[in-house]
Amino acid sequence: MHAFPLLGHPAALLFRTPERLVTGNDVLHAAHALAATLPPRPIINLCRDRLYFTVAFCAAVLRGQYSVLPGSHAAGPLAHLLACYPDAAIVTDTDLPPCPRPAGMPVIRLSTLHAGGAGRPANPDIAAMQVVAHILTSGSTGTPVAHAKTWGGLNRRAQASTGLFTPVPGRVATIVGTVPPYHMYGFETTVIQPLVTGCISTTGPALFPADIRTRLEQGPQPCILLTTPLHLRTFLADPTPLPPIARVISATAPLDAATAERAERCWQAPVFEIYGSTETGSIATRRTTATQAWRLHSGIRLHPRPDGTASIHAPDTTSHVVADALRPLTPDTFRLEGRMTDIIKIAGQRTSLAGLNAILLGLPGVEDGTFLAPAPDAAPGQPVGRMEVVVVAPTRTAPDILAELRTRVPPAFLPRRVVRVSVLPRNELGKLTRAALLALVHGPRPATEATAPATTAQEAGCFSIAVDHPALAGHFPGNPIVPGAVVLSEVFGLMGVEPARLEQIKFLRPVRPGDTVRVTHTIQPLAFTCTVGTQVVAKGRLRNNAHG
Amino acid sequence: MAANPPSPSETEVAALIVETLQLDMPVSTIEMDAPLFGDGLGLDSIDALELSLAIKRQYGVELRSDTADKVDIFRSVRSLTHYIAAHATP
Repeated sequence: MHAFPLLGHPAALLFRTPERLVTGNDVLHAAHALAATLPPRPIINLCRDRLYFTVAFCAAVLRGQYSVLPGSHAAGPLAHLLACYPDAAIVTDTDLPPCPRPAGMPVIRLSTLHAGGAGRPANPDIAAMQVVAHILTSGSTGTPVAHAKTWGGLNRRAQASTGLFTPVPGRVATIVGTVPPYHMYGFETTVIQPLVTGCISTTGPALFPADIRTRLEQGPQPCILLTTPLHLRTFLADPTPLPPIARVISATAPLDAATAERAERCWQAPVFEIYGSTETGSIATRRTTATQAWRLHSGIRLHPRPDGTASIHAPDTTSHVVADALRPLTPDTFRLEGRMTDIIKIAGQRTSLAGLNAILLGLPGVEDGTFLAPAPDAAPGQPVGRMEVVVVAPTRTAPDILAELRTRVPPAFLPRRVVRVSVLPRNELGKLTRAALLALVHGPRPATEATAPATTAQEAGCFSIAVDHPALAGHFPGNPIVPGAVVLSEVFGLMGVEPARLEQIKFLRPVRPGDTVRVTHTIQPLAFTCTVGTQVVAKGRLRNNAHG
Repeated sequence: MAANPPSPSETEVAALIVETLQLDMPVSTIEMDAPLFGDGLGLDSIDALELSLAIKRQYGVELRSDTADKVDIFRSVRSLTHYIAAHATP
């Protein structure tokens, strides 16, 4: 049976807090002191500070226990988690959210860390097969599913990633992480990586660009900015320069090449992406601007399956089937051909689209509707993508629906917009395509508001949809029809109004690719008519103001 | 019912929040004292980040987590407005 020491480099600096540098031995001292006070139970690690979180994690390992990492600190999901682990104890460095907890569940509050003393604290070997963490994800029904992590699996992965976390050969790097320690990505990179390979992880706030500047200034150099596409886009939108960054690492969602290029130009640092999941941990990496081929971490093998997905095999972990379509290129590299569509990831949290839709359709008065996930490849400088909801609910208002969802959906997945429509743009099979929904929801913003009311019909313009329009791909093979949503998108573009104002739409005849569609509209009431030749193909009415 | 009508700058900040975060609600329905995060508007840290950029663009005020209690700044539209007013350069 093999084992790995709890700390790979106990004498090294492992954490940079806003006040001081912390060595591995400091972490061990504090962990031993805390371990002595812990009940013989698994711990639910609710510490938000990265150092406190790490000390609590190590203390549990020293006691032969595992840490449960919450997917969310929000009261609802947390209450569920506590109920799933009634025999655990809570360790926290902040006030607990007001949520019910099982009777007798101990709460250990960490307000300071034991400073340690002279001498070298014990740094025991931990069996590779010891389960040290349970990480929770939302299952397809919304019920959390726990994934057990062994010390050997985490340890080997960190060792395999040494190169990624060594941007300047021969020098120890500092990781400035914008992700919390209790999600798999942040846990592997900002907690386990320092413990195993001896790099430095920063603690303290790392949300606003000003925070990031402070963290990077404190260093020590060279620094790695470890973040997500959402954070990257907002950091790039801030004009104030950042201190030197040696490398940028992004994960949790696909990073588009344009944002990666912009980051590389702006910060003069290569941008690497990590591919992984809560179940597998990180398994591969690539430099976004250089290649589409992902390189597997050493020791990880990929076995393609007939359905285009693959199973992942790594030492000291159970094999896992990823639901993405992966195509092996060489024994060490693969190409990501497609992401599974049901799982939505925002800001490192994930949930299932089916689960969200079940909540939406369960609301009184909701006849039909769907959540619409943000595009994973929003243009740089654009606001980060958030969920939207398209709903058929004649008796409900959008704020109503939003208010109800607020009590049931975690903030990250709460729709930022609820678009009411009279009918969803379902195709003849009753399926909603993403293209149709996007066209319905994302019309161009209004260029200018109409200044003079008019009751006579005005010419808005003409449009024609080419046969090779992306929205037509795969739809109605052999008998192409322009989806209603595409027609609407063009109409809104010509009229310069927001699609959210749509009140009523009737598609009277099919529009075919190549047809020239003429659009006329009136201002009072705000309405439009689409014609092809002499035939009316669609008519619609809009609200006169955005929130009317 | 709020006891005091919102001051213009609070309405302005509420409008900035609605516009920046593309919230689908009229500005007039936002309560100036209601929490922005958690049970109130249900915003999260990514919203706070986006909002911080909009505030910097509009008012030249840079938010940071460690100069003041972030929780206090984002407690409500009112507290955010106060923070901006106190830190804006005239």
